[in-house]
Amino acid sequence: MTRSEIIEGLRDILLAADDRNVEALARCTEQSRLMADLGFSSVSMLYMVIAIEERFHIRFDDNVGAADFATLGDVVDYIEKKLP
Amino acid sequence: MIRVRLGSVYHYGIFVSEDEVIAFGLPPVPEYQDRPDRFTVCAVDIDVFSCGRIPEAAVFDLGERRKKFSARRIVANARARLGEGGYNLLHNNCEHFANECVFGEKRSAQTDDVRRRWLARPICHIYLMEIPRPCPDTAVYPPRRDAEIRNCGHDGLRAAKHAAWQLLAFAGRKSLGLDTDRLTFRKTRSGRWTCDEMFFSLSHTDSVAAVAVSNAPVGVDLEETDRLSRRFTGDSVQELYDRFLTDGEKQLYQPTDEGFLTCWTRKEALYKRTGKGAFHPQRVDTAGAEARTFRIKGDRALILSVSGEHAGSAHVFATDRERTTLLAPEEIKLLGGDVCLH
Repeated sequence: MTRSEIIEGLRDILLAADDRNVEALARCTEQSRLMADLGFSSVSMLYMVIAIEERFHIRFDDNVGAADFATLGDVVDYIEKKLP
Repeated sequence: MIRVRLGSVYHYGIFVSEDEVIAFGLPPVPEYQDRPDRFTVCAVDIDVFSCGRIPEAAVFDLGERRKKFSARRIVANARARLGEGGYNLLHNNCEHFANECVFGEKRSAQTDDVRRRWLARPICHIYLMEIPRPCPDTAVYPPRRDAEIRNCGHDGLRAAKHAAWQLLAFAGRKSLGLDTDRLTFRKTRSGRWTCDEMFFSLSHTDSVAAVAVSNAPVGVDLEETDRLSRRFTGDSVQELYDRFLTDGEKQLYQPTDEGFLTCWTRKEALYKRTGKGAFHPQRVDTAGAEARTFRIKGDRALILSVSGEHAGSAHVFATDRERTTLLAPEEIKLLGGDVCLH
C-alpha cells in the first residue's frame, strides 16, 4: 500500500469522524496538524485510532498515546511501519 | 472509582485517599507528555490526577453495586499492579484498569462507544469518472452482467454501462473494503441489480459515470445541464415542470432549467432507491424525501442528486481509478431546496 493510498484511507476515516470539516480534509496534506488544522478532539483521536485498526488491520502498539501523533504524516508513518 | 474529564474523554483512577489515587498512566495532558511513568500504573495525589479539573466519583447502579468488590479488595487490586506497564490506548487503558480493579472485568465504555460509532457510521460516497472511449474489453463481475453489457448494441451506451460497473467495483472496494469479485449480485424481477453486501446505485450521462455506495438504501442520478438546454427551450421546460412535478415539489423548485433538473434528478434518485416497476415521474414525490443535490463544476456542468438515509452526509469524489480526489465544497455547489433530513 502506498503512502497516498494510506492518506486516502485516512481521509475517509476523518470524514466519517467529522464531516463538517470537508474543506480542510479535501486539502489536507501530510503536514496538516491534527488538532490545529483539522480540529481534532480527544474523542476524534480515539475514533481515528479505532478506525485505523479496523480499516488497515493493524494493532497499535502498547505505550502509544494520542499525543504521539502531531500531524497526519506522523500517522501515515506509523501505519506504513505497521503494515506487512 | 473516580474520573476526570480531559477534553472530551475521561481519565479514570482508584481513589484511596487525597494523597493516593492509583491510575494506569498519568493524565494525557501536555505537561506529563515527557514523563517516563506516563504509561505505567502509578499512585499520584489528587492534584496530579485531576490536573486542576473537578474529579467525579462513580455512581454505581444496583447491578454494579452487587458485582463490585469490597473497598478493601479494590484498593488491594490497584496497589498490586503498581509499576505495571503495557498501556494500550484501545485495549488496555485507564478505564480498563479501573474496571478490572472494581469489577474484575476489563472493559472500557468509552472505547466501546467510539467503536460502535465507527461501525455504524453513515457511508454515502459518490464517485464520478469520465467514461473511457472506446469501451475497454475487460470483463466486469458478475459474468451475467458482463454478458448483458457485451450484448448492448449501442457503442456509447455499452461504454457507459461498462464504466459504471467498473466504477462500482472500485467504489465498493474503496469505501466499504469489499472484494467485489466475492460479492453476491442478484437481478430482481423488475430488472434491478442488487447486492447482498452493500447498497449501490448507478447513473451516467454520455460522458460521465456516477456510482453511489452506501450502508443504507441509496439512489443516484446524474444529468448534464447543457443537455436539457439543447433539447428544450424555456417554454418546453415550463411544460415539463407543469406536467411532471407534484404540487408539493412546485412549492420547492422554480420552473427554471436548474430548478427542474434538481427536482428531476431527485425523482430518479428516489425512484432508484425505493421504486419498483416502471418509472412514472408524476407518482414519485420528492418533497420531504431525504436527498441532496450537487452542481458539479468543470468542463461539463452536471447536476447530481443522491437519495438515501445517509444522503445528508454524502461525499463526492472524482476519480480515474488511479487517483481519487474528494471534491471540496467550492468545486461543487449545493443547490437550493435541499432537504437534508437525518
